[in-house]
Amino acid sequence: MRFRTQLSNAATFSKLTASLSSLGKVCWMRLEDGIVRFTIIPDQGTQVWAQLPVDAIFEESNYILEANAGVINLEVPVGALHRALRSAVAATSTQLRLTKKGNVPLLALTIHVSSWTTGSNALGMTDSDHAALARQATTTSRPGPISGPRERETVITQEIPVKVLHESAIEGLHEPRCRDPDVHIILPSLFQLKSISERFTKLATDAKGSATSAVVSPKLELSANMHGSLKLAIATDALRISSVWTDLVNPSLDPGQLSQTEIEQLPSERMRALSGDDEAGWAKVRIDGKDWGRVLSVGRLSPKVVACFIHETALILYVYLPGSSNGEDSCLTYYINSYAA
Amino acid sequence: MADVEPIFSAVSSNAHHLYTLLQCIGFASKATVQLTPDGIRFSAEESRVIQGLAFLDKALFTSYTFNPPTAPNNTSRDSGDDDDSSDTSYHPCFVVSLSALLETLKIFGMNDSSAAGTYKTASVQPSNSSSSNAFTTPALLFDRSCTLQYFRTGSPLGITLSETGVKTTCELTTYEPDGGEVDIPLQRDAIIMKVIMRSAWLHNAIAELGATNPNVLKISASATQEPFFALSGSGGPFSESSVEFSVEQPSQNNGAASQSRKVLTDDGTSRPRAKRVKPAPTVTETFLVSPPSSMGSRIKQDYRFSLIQKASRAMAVANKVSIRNDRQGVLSLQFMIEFDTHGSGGARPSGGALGPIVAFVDFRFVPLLDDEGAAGEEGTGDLD
Repeated sequence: MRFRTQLSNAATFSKLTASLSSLGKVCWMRLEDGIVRFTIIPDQGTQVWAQLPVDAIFEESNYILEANAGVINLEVPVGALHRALRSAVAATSTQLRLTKKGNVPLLALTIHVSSWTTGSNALGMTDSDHAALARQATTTSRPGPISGPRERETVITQEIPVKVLHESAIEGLHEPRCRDPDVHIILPSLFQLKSISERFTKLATDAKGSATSAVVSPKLELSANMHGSLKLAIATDALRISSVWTDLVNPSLDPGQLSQTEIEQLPSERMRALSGDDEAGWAKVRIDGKDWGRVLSVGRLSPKVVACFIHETALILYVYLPGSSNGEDSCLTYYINSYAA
Repeated sequence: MADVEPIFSAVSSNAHHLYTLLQCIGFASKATVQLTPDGIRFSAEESRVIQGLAFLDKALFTSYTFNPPTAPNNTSRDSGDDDDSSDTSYHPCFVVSLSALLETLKIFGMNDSSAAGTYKTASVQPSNSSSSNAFTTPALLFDRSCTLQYFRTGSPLGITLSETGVKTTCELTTYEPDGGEVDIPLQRDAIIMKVIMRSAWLHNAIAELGATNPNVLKISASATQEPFFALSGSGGPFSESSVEFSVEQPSQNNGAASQSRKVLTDDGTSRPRAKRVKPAPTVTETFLVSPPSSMGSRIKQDYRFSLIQKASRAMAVANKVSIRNDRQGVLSLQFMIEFDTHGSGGARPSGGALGPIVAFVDFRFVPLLDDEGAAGEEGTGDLD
């Protein structure tokens, strides 16, 4: 079993792991030929199924994968991976490989950082942040032979213990299947949505008082219609508050994949036929406020997000990363269950 | 609902002003609201020993309509006072969740970082702390509005915040006042102390005293003896500390004059322009102390420190404070808050040369009567 690659986009990889780590501690990383998948299935809350083409985060030409079935499944502590990647963001080059220390399989990140030294001290340890970042890592320096200002390279190795998952361990894991959505809509700026959502959650938590309901986080009502409107609402005894976004886009489905009659039979088309102010044209889900805030942290990747509403059942977010050559390949899918009223 | 003219409707283009004023009295979770033709009065209180009043003058709004409802239900507690008996209109009064109102107002313009308050700073500069600086571009605020509406007696108080692309509506449940909201009485004809100074000085003094976590704030003022005006904290886990507002004689250009006139005042002649004649702390603009004969020459009054601290947000944002004490010991802190008109949006006629809008927030405190703070709380509750 061999896996070795070069990071091509450490910033994206780091932001991705940051978003994933807010939803779960461990992540199932599945390495295939051409595709990398990250899956988070927490005990409770939102599932993420992310699928990225290799070139979204790795150098395709340096992607070496050797395994029995052509697939490597790893269980990765995603928080540790994220912390390790932070030192890679400013690096000149970063190598990621699967290795072993004793009996413990590891993902080893080898990070090359170059910086200019000003002084003539032999070690040039002026910037202490490298040392701080590589707390459990080994740092070796290769100072050049000449003194004075020069470029010098620091090599940081970060090791993340992982588990190799046998095929039988993941057999039972499947991406959730849902019926066709009632409403699909492109979400507004996730930063704005997140800050308003957080304020609503806070309002509801404050209003309930601290004593009994501290464990139950408030439920937000999120609804949308096929006429470009999205509504976020919460109600307590003391207040009813809602924010409505208008003039959003309901993306049209690809006519290449579905025939005209198939498209016409979709629930979303029936919803589109209803007028904009008809209450029946809104699909609504009830979601956990805190969990939703963590989901929205994916906004740091500044993606395009299509939200699919299945009335009173589930909310599915398709998060498309920007700048990928063929956007459909790199997609993070969030499955959020709706709570009963 | 749309057919009927609402009782009250007001539009502001700068919700931040409303937020700044209301957060001053944000120590309580609920506030009593009274709608009047001149503005909205928000009153918050706790255990009837502290009361905060914020008055949102109609000048803070770009449009303000108030149609006093006629023929209220007869059980209204206001039915007793018939001073505006020319018609049966009355000024609606209800209770809303103040914390929810503040959180809602914070949503407005949430993406500007400048909205972050200066409250947490331990010490404020004695300068105008209104919110405008070079980085708040008023032009960006044009398409925003904040509307307050109250349709009928008993309907919720509606707040609508519109920004580009998103509109937030909040309906705050209105509760009937339970009749307990009696203002703490300040005897205006029996004021024995009046001090006006920059609010920042008071804020810094209270912050300084707060460091030792005292239970009791002692206010001490005298027209004749040093220290003329002093605040001290006692009863905490640490030793007592005190802030004395000193008289800086050498640096003052009229210092010599006040020295020489001190002799005159010691003779007991009372002069109308007292602050020019009597020695007064350098930081005060007005310093009037006239203790009743029963008190001697020095006014001393104790207040619960934690209550005074609840006014510290107002101290931080206000320009000036008027500190008054009446014969019964009720302390009034009246804060003057100035807003620049630059940020108030385009709808206001800018040629009017209105200057800064001035708003007032009042605090009243019931004194501690017993020596020990803990015993005093229950005793002072029935003072009103």
